[in-house]
Amino acid sequence: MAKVVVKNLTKKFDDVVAVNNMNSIVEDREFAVLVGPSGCGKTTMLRMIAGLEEVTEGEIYIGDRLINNVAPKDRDIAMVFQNYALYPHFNVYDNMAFGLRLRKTPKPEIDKMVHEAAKILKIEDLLKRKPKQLSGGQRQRVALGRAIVRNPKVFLMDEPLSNLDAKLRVQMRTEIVKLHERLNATIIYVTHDQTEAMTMADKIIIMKNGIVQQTGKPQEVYDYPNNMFVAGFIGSPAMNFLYATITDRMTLKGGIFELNTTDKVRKIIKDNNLIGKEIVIGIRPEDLEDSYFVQNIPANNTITANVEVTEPMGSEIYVYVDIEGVLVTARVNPRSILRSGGKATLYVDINKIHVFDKNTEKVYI
Amino acid sequence: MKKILLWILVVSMIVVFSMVGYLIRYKTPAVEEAPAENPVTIKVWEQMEPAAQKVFDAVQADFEAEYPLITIKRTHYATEDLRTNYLNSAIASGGPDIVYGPSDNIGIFLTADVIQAVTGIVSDEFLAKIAANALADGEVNGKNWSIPDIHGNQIALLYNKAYVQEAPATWEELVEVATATQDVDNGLYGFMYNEKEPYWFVGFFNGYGGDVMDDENNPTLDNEAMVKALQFALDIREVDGVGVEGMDYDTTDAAFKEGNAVFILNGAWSWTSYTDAGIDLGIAPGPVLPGGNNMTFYASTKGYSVSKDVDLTDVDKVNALKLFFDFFVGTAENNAKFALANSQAPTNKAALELDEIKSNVLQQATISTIQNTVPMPIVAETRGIWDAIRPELEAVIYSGKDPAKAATAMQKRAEEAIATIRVKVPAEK
Amino acid sequence: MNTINKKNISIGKIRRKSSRSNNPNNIDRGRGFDFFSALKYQPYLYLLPAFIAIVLISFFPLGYGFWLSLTNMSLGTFKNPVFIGIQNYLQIFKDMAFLKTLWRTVIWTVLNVTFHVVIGVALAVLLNRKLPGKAIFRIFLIIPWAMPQYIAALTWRGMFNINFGAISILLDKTGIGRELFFAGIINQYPIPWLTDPAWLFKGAIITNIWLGFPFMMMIVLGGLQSIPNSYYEAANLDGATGWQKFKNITVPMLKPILAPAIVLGVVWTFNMLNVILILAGSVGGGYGNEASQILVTEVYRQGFNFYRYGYASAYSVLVFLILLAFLISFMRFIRGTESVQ
Repeated sequence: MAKVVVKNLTKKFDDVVAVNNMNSIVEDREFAVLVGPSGCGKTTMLRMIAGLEEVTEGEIYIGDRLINNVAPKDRDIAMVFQNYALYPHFNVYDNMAFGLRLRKTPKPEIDKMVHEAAKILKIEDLLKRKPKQLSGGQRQRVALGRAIVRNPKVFLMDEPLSNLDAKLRVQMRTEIVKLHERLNATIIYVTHDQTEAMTMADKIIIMKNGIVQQTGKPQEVYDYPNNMFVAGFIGSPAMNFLYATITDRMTLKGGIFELNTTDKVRKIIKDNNLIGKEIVIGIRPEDLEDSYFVQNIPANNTITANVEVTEPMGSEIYVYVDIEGVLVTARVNPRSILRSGGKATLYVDINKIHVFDKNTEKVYI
Repeated sequence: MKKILLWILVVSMIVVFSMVGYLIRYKTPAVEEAPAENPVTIKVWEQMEPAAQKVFDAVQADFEAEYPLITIKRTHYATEDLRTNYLNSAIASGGPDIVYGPSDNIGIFLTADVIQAVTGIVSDEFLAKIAANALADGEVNGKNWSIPDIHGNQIALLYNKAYVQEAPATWEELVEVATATQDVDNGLYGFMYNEKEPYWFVGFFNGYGGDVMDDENNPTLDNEAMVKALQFALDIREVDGVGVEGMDYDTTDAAFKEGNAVFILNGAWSWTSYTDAGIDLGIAPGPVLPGGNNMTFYASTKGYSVSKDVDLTDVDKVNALKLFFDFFVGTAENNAKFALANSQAPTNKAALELDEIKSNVLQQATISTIQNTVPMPIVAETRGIWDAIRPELEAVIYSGKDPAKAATAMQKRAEEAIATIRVKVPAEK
Repeated sequence: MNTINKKNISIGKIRRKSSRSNNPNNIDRGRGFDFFSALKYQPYLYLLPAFIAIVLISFFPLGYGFWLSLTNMSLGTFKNPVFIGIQNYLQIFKDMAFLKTLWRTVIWTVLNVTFHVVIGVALAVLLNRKLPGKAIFRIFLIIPWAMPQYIAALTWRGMFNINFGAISILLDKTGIGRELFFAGIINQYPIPWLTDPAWLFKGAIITNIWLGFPFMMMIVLGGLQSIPNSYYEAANLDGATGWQKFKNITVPMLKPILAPAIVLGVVWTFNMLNVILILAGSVGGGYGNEASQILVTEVYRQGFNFYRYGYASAYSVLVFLILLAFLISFMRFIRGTESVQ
């Protein structure tokens, strides 16, 4: 087992920069998730670690070994592909054994390893079948099994769940996490789905346009986003952004609302000399509540706006209101009687709000 | 489910067969005896060269102007297609009244019983207008089965006057001139011809006194004439030192056109292409073979035959056909037009005397070399003869097979092939 | 009586249907016309025109051909052929030439299709790589296919000429021909491509290979492009060699595309008339030496040279049955090598 270190890594496809001067460390036995919208460079990053793409600049280490010029098969890694890439005319057993055979592993050992992996993945009864005869979830397990038998230092997984249906995806999520615990291996996992990132990762690496935006534990990233991109990308429903100006009284004033600030925010306003400036407020949907269910609301802690749509989820209701042309989402009490067409007065938990610079999109708090 | 499919299949079969039945029942419309002023359509299927087709259209326009009630519908086919389609039309329907093509179609049509003697339509006076040697080409069992309009297609000795002024009379002379003139290293060949095609080879066979079939149309290939002819064909390259291995129609043709051959043997159809290519062309009959007569090639005609389906009691149709033949073949000027377009001799005796024929060098060469030919056999059995000669001829000239053995094998092949052609002729014939 | 019965049946049917759709109000009250069962037949009504067309253009000629093979139809019996049972077939089998020709046809087909597939796959694999000027190579390689067969075969005939042909000249000028001769690889020099039947057959095979590989190449190229790259990447991680990747990924992934292409190739090659006839210079009535002929040229000779329609039809039926037997066993073999579904 080993940690993976990436130093000043850049990848260019002709003039297009896919990965831009990236520096990251994935610790030994860590489950790291590379997440970002499509085209952000996360898959390119993974493929460089696997050795499937050449490195333009920079260095990649697995353990202490510089692997830039090491052939893929000698990097001591295993990769799980989005479409599983199982050999079509091999049965499950042979698919899992193929790599070992190429490595001249003794037969009894291969047999032992394959059966062990099959047992872990609960596919022992499928060993004689061909990929064609398996369901998507079963193929996924075989692909994982093929990686496991190699007993690699690092597992690389490229959107392994995106070909599965929603229910199976949730199930496999937990299985992969369990697998990680059991194998005690380093895993680098690529996905565009922030839910997968949040639920599975020890460490999330969020990328955009080939640049790492933020690295951290899921809850850290959620609670303390570095910038508006991370704030908007992580969390579902996404964070709401509202434009506001900071008044002399240190309130946040928009067209139809004025919000009070906490001491923490005031200190930042003073330190950064923000009075009179325009900023962006970030409010997570769960920090907005139907004021009917909140008692003793101080002044200037609510926003009143027209309700566009309501989506009852059972455990809560998503209320979409129009604030100065921005559709703002609120997760309110399920017993709320707010309905589309009506007016809603929403309570804002000002302890939880974020403030971003309007131009740099960087976070103040 | 399967039952339903079957049921639908059965229904569609019934529909199809009843449609076919309907067509068959109504395919033979009994032509009623109509007054003579009724319009008549003559359907002609032909296999003409493009130039001749143009002449046909012009003559047709003149004809229809003169006889407004008669319409001619002409359809063009390639050689093989004409034969096959015409045969098929005889059992299906929609065939023509007149079929035009080379005389060797006659034997096939006759055997298949799909044409009738032209004497049912035209008079003896009309036939007297046509040259006897041309008419003879379409004659089987003492009856005329075709009205020929052009005559020729014969192979002759062609020479490039840039190298030789006068045609040699004998093969020995030819070899002497050819070997003296040729410069093989620089691609000038003394003598070339299509050495694997029986149509050329029979010129030698005939020249040694052979005849491919007897009066009963049985093959007569295993004889001295054949052995001599095969030996001669073999010796051309091996002994006489002229010609070149692998020479065939295309190489011979190309070499002569480019001025790279002194003497060649080729047919009347090709001659204009050489004068067009700027060759100073000389034409002569085949030279005298060593120990034999002149190479004697076949001449054949092309002409019109009348479908068996033409009803002789249909006065309108018969009259129209008479007028058609009178106009297209019986009129010297029109016949000459076809002859010139085809670069072959006219068959109308009066046409032979016309200025445009007399003053045409190629026409005169054609007419004079025809004198040195024999009519090509046209009975269906001929196909079996060609089929037998070709592989044995190739075996002799390419693989050194003994000519005597080849002649015997040829005879056997021909007999077998002819037996298949003659298979089960209905007894009433 | 009858109508009442019908009504009962129809109501029964509808009731069953209705109960399935959980809608008891939908019971048809005694309409004589059974709408639902009529609806069941309606699709077949729409199919009927297609059925008729297929019967007309496919079944009828096939049946007619088979019927012809049982008659003595030929020039002499053209208008009134007689049913003679299987005599045509007996006559074919009595003739040793049939077996010889069949054997030659099998060699012809196997050699041609094998080379078509091998060359086609090899070139497709090359063209599927990153290659400078790939588009131009591809165009050049498709040319044999784009050229009319007749013209291509005529051109090859010109090239095979023993004295003037490009191939003969090339073999001569490079000295390769002489080397081959002294090495004993060829038994004649210069090679009499067109005049020796055995060489003519070889020449025809070369020509037909040249004509046929672009089709396979295009088919395979299409198939290769549909194989996701990740298969090869996964194999790279496993440490597979190029050959192992070809054997374990390319070939099995191409199989569903190659199998029908091979079937087509076999049928086309088995029935390839043009190339041999043209090379032999016997288009339009003539006929080359038997030693270079295949079954279908014999059909042509009997049918269109001698007009033995009955006999030629019997030959055609045999060709049909041979191909049918091959196709059935080939498809079975292919299915056998695939997983059981």
